[in-house]
Amino acid sequence: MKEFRRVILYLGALFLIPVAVLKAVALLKGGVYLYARDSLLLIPNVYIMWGTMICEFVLVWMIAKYPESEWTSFVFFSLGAQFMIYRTVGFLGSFSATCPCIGNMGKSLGISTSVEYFVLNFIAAWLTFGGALLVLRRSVK
Amino acid sequence: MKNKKLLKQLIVASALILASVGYGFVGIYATEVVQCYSFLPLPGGLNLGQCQIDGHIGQISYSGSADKCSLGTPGNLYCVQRGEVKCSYTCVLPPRAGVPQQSFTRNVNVPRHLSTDEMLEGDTVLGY
Repeated sequence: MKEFRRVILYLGALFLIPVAVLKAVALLKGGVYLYARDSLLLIPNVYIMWGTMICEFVLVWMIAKYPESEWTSFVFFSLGAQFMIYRTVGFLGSFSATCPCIGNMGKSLGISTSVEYFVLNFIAAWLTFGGALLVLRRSVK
Repeated sequence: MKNKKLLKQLIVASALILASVGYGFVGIYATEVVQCYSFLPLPGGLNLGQCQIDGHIGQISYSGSADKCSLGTPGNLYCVQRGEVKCSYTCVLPPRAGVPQQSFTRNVNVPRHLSTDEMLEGDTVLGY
């Protein structure tokens, strides 16, 4: 279980690091879109980008420092659940032009939107389901 | 016993990967098929359903259905297709002195995520 737990957490961290770095690059690069209001959360994209980027870096730090902690599992799950709720509601409510989650960097890197959305959804699901598994297993014990 | 445990972990890991990949595909679907609703502000800060051509206020003609985004279909306002905001809508000007009712199809093609900023720029009257 210990190894299994680490695989879920470390893979999660491996997914989160590039996403957080891309956000940081996008924030440094700037752009008009950063100040556009997110049609779902109704706040400028720049705040969402900063907020999620900080959460991602904090989670990566927690995984590296306290991989066995219940709090790490909980934060892992919570962040994923937030992403998943945001993306699901955005999809169901047709708010597709919501926050540029990796800050338009997908385009800069030549990644198609479909691939970008697939990757981001995959990461959100990995964090949510993996986090839920860790939280539930711990609580069952 | 050890094999049983390993098998159990393998099943859980596979389920986790499958569920994540499955949700990933929802993302692809989301970029390709989006319902056409006017969730973005209307051009020129007009009231909902209004449009403006050469200073004349008209009404935006809606398709009236919740059709999936169909690029270039008049009446579908602010569609998002493959992550791009590619929209067209029809502005109907009521009859004026000596001028019959006119319909203009306007296209707005804006890069993704810039829709709210650049809605007014680059839109062109295609004709009627």
